[in-house]
Amino acid sequence: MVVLSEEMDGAMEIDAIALKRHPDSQPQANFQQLTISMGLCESDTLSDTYEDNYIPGTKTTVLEESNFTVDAPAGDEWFYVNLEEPYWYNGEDNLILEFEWPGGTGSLYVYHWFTGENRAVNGGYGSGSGYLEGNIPHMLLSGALSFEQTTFGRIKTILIQ
Amino acid sequence: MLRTVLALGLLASAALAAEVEVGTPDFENSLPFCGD
Repeated sequence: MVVLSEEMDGAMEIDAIALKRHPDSQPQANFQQLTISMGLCESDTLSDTYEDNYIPGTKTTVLEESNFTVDAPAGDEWFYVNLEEPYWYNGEDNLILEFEWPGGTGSLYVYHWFTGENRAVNGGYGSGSGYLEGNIPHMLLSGALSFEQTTFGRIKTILIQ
Repeated sequence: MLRTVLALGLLASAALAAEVEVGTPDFENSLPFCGD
């Protein structure tokens, strides 16, 4: 899926992704393997070929785990997936989030929202392409916002004067 | 003066914890994240 730069709040280090569980969902799911990748995208909409959507060289694996369990104990509440490697988002390009898993047990249902554009690609595990759709998860990207690069210099200059 | 500059420099370089919400709640729209 792609998150547009205007939906972000500038550059930030992302260290967790939160999704909101539907009340009717099961409270836990186990992935045989889960890989989460993040990267940058120039376009506001996606092509059906996964790799074509990334700005070359920007795709980064932020989590890769086998036998990975996700707990979502409460309906209508956010649950968090902590990344193994924080991702530095530059605040300028659009942001791609990609989830891959070959199979698992349990079903987690999470709230989505309809973007009106082709902002997601869904397909079989290991496939190079999938089908386009407009629904993407309602989510929180959790981490740390960056200060402007000028902040320290400005403070130092004022004090020395 | 030097101590003050260093202390504020550390403060300015510290990260500001934040969460960015992407999307709007749509309680009729629930899809699987994992499973069938």
